[in-house]
Amino acid sequence: MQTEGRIQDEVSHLFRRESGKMVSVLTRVFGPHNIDLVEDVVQDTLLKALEQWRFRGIPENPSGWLYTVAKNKALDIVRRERLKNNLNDEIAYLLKSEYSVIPTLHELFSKSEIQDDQLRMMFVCCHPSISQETQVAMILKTLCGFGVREIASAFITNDEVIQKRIYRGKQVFREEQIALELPSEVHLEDRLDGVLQALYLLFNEGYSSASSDELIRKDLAEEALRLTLMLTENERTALPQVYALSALMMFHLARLSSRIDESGNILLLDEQDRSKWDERFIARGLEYLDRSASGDELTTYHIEAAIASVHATARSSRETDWAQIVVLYNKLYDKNRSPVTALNRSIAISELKGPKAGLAAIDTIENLNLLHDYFLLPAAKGEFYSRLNDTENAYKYFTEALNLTDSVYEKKLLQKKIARLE
Amino acid sequence: MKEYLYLFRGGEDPHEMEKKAGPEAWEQHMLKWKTWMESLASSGKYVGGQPLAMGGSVISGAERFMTDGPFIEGKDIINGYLHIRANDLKEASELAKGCPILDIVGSVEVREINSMM
Amino acid sequence: MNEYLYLLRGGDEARIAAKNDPEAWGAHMMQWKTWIESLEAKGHLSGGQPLADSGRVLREKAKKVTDGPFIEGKEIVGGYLLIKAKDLDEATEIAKDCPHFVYGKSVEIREVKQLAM
Repeated sequence: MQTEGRIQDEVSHLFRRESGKMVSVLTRVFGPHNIDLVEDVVQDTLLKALEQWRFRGIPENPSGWLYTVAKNKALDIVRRERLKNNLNDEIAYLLKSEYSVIPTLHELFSKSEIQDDQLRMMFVCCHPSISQETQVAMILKTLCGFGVREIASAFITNDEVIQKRIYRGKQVFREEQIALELPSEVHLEDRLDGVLQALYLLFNEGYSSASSDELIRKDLAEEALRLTLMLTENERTALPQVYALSALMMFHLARLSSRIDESGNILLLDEQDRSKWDERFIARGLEYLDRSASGDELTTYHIEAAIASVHATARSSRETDWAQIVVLYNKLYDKNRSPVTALNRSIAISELKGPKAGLAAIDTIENLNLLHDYFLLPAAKGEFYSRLNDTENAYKYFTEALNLTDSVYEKKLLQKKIARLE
Repeated sequence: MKEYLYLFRGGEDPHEMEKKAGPEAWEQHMLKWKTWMESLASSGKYVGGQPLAMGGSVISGAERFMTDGPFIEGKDIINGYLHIRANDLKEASELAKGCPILDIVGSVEVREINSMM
Repeated sequence: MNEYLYLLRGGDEARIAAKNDPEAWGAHMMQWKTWIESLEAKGHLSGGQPLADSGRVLREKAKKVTDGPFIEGKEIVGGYLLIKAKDLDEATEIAKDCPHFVYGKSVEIREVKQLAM
């Protein structure tokens, strides 16, 4: 007899993994407009599993068990909804007839179809009429099996805010009659752009979010990579920019666990124990960066991945090819004209030519006022002044930065730097 | 384009089939149905259709006399129908040749959908 | 809610005779229209059509094609309706009002079969 606690642990992990798959497949059956119905079927399936497994233990093939239950529940509801013409139009004719409904459901729950449906679901969640923050929430809810509370915790906001976003997302699902399919050739790259942006955001949310829950952060970053890799496995979406984004994520994930020490302090690049960087991720990152080199378009993901690769392959901060990094930041800035990129470039310049050059570079940033509440700006200035032994200015800017960030980690880091000044 | 109704009779019972050839045999057979319907649909010929349960009732005559079940015996009972589109009776009959029920000792009656006039 | 198929049989000769009397036939068509409307209004109607007399039958593996329906000595199916009802009793009750009985012989009521997963 398995203990309640163990069952719950195993089950919640499995549930999160499988519910995203079941939601995708069932959305194929009932259509995106029936997302609430779809979530009910998944919820019922998981409840039934909890009930039965508590007494009989976890079955040998738990995923298969879940799919069988979900399939049976889906069949009952298909039989009810077909009389109301409330099925996914695209395959309704196969679902409506008893001659074909069962083999059709079996096929939809097969491995390759599940994978494709998750891909299609990604495009539905990232539909252009859904705002980007809602897109990310919908991905987490439908594809990653995250609960409202977990999403809220990842975004450091309350349940209500997330609930509202999901409500709006579902409203679009219902009202816009979005088809669950990969966009046509003409629209594919445009729509893929939207999906990659959402995945990039999801990854950053995990990698550098202010949430203090390390587990959730890691989950977010890994889920973003899982979904991006899924795009590389379909021939229509395996485009150079997708490989570039995958590489970028892998380089960052390689050093994710070295970024924070045991007491929860952020370790800067030059403080990290590089032997702890995950070499398998770095090797895969290089492989994917290599694959991203086909085609003639250089996207921002390509450049960011290249920058990350220079860091990932340097033996120490001092031995880093900062000149190369400055060149890459120049290219990136040419593409996105973002003051954040310019700020990062000035940090690289300070590594290459000293803190004075860094400060000078900051002074020339166009639209610097856009960064007026971005804590990294005063944090960087503070660092430059601190290296110039200008304690007064260093203190002023570090304090300013401290007031601009909510992140527990960043606050700790800044406090450490201030303490060092005294 | 005209419309036709296929009326199915005969064919093997799923339980008999499973006993004889294992559970996969029936699954394979149903897969054939799905494939056939997909091919009809892909050329715009498919409208709809269902298998029919064995029981039922029959009402007859002006006095609405009711009996249980179809009163025809065994192999003559209609056990399913399919509604399709075809250019003429010849094409409808050709398309019917793809029907999996013919592989298991069944028959298809092909009938044109008529106007009442 | 389940689906039922009505198989309408018999009365071909009576109908042919009625067609020669435009007034009687017009009234009959109106009966059909009114009945179909009431089925639709109550959410019972899924579809249905009359069928032409001629047709073909394909039999078994050889896919032997023969002309015409059909079953010796039995009434051929002259039309069908697909109906939503909560059970066989309700489906049978609904069928009693079918205008088919004006000229026809019988309505066979059959439930759509739910195959097992």
